[in-house]
Amino acid sequence: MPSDGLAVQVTSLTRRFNDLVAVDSVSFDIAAGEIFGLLGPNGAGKTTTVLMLTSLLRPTSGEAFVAGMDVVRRPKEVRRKISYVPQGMAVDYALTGRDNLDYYASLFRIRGREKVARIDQVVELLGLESVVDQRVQFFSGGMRRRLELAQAVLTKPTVLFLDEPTLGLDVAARRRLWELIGNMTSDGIACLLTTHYMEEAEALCNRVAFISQGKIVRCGAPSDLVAEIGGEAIQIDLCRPLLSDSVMRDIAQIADVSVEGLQLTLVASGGRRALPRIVAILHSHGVEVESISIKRPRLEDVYLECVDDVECVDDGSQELVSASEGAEIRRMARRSMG
Amino acid sequence: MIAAIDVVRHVWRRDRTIQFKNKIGLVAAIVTPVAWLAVMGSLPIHMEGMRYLDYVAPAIVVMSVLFPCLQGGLLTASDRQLGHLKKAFATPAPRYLMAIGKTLAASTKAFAQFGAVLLTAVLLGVRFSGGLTGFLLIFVYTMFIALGLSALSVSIAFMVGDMHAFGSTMSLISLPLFMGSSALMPIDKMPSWLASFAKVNPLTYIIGATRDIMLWGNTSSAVWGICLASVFLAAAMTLCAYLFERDYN
Repeated sequence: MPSDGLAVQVTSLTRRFNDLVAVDSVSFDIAAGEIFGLLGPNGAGKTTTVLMLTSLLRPTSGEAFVAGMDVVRRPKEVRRKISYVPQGMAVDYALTGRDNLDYYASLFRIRGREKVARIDQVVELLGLESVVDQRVQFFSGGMRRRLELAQAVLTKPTVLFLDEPTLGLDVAARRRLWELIGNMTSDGIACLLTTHYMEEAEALCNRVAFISQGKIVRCGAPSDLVAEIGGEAIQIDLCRPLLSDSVMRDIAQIADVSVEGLQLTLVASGGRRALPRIVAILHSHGVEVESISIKRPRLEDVYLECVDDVECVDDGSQELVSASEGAEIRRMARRSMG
Repeated sequence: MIAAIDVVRHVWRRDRTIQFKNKIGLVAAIVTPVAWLAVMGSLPIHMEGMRYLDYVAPAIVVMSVLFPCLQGGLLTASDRQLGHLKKAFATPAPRYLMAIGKTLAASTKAFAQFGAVLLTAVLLGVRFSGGLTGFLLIFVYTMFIALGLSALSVSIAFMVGDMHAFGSTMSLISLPLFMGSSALMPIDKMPSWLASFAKVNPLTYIIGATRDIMLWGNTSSAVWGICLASVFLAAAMTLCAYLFERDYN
């Protein structure tokens, strides 16, 4: 049974495709208003997990509750409570922004005055006023993504699924989108997003799960995961080689230290706060310092540590189309469809 | 009920808007079968004791729905390829209603062509024996065939899931189907290898029934034809709805 207050609850979810175990006994949950990131290489099982949670694909075994309902037993009710923004470009280029919104609302049986009001509301929320009556083919990449988000929140979902929400966007557009996604979840919408961008996960997600070869290998708040793999590293470049071992002995009392040529690398339990004392030791021994830098571990380092470096073949999804490929296909479609 | 019609209507409208966005394409689609009729019909030959124009007109009428309907699934292939269907299938709208909406849209272009060909046929003075009833029967019969072909095309597009593969698959099917039928000449005038193919080609019988209704005003042929066409439509539509309702992967 689902627990109260959890937007998503997944227990031992598994999906096999013949011999391939795409998702292997995955468990996690997402609270209301939380942004949860699913990170991992292509083919790790991210999209397959999302397909199961959006009721598009039946799990081989395990359980998943979305908005308090079983995705296998009550898929219709689940679909009423979710919005799914898939990878690639799933808005219609030949239609105007407003027509896209109107069409999506109709699939949720939102009609009449209610529909008009909600469309106006999301257009304003996502800052689409100036472009919404133009055809989507004239939209910038960032605007298109915003339109997809507008579609997604139009139906007032409990859970929002975003597959690679900022793929192919420039830095400014990406930051604007992060802000908008953050605003949405402050209203209590839970959000599951998949991404390849670690800085995106750090900026947006309350918690993340690293998935590798179908299994969750690490899960937690980004800052906790970063802290787990160790503190800051201090790098000191010297002007001349060290002549005596006494410096090293003194420093070793407050930090782990290694030396390579003119470079000292230190890992202190106090992190950068140990720095003044280290500098004082070096000074008292008359060691001249060329430069000091502090290397902080990032989510990227967690990723590299826990995710196997294996090129996987298939995510169980046929639509791994990048944004630029998507645009190209659309162009060809326009030509051949006439 | 109203809500169901609403879903069908919106899916139909979306697909139609995308398909007809390019007006040049629409004009070309209408001109093609009209040109066929005008060119083939002007050949100075006689077939089965009638002008070739009269002989070939019913076949061109069928062609005007066959080709566009078989290509009609193209948008479904691209919707599948680009992720549109993934998004649509995660909404509460019943998928079988989307299948109906997509089928209607896939045959919409065919109806424009069908109307243009029928009008041209009348203007060229093609023989019409059935009067208004015959006209109506032809319309109903062709409509059923068109919708059935469209449902089949949408199903194939959904299964293939790739626009280019779908386009070439359909070209591979449609032209031999048309040429290897009694469309352009009667079976007894064909070389034996072609005749044996034409005898098992369903299009031969579809065109045969159209000729019976158009040229001879044969009502029993029409009733039979409409019965068989509705069975075909029901089967194709069921297949399409079944594919849509299945696990999406």
